[in-house]
Amino acid sequence: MPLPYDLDGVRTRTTMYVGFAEFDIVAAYIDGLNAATHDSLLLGFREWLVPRVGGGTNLVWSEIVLLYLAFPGVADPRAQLQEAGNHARAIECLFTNLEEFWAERYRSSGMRAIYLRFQAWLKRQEWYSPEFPDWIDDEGIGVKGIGPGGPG
Amino acid sequence: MSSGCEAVAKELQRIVGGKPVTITAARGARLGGFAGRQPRWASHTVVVSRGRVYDSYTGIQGMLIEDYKKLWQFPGDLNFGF
Repeated sequence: MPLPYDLDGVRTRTTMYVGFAEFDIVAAYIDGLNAATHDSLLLGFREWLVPRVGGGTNLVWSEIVLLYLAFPGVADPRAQLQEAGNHARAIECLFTNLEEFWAERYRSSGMRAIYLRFQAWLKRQEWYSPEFPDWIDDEGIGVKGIGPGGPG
Repeated sequence: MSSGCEAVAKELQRIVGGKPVTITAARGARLGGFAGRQPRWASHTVVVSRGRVYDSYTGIQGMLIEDYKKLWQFPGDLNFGF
């Protein structure tokens, strides 16, 4: 499935869309599209990324891509980004993952699988416990502050 | 590699007690600047105990809530939950 909103064009002809082929500019363009679609474009992307890379729950999606996927294990990924050819590498990494996410999301039950995988990953983290602010009791299907069965 | 604020909060809570709280943005997707840096956080989990905030920045000495909020670039646009 092709990426929506002509993102394949942004990927292959970046400077025609955003002027400069820089990672943060491309990420900001995608964030703008996401805002214009009331966050629906990237819905589930962070939840797809976190189990894949094994961390980054507190980071924005573009930072997860940069730190964990474009330059894994690099002490200073932002400095690395400035070296020749690395913006192109990071931008391609961004689109490769976005495309893979997009394909899974639009598979049958894709979005449900993404969130179930994210929930399973959370439950494996030592810090994720009932006192954690975003805790969801998925045994009783009770969201913190809302009893089983949901509101009402 | 992750800033791992959740794990840090858990560890700090074992030492100072209190409860973990997650700071989120009331608008936008990022929390904005913190302590003169742009950490590109979507959220940040801290521990709040007896009027003080604890995270990897404050360490176990913590910081008064009022002072901690001043570290943020746009405190008025964040949901602190404390």
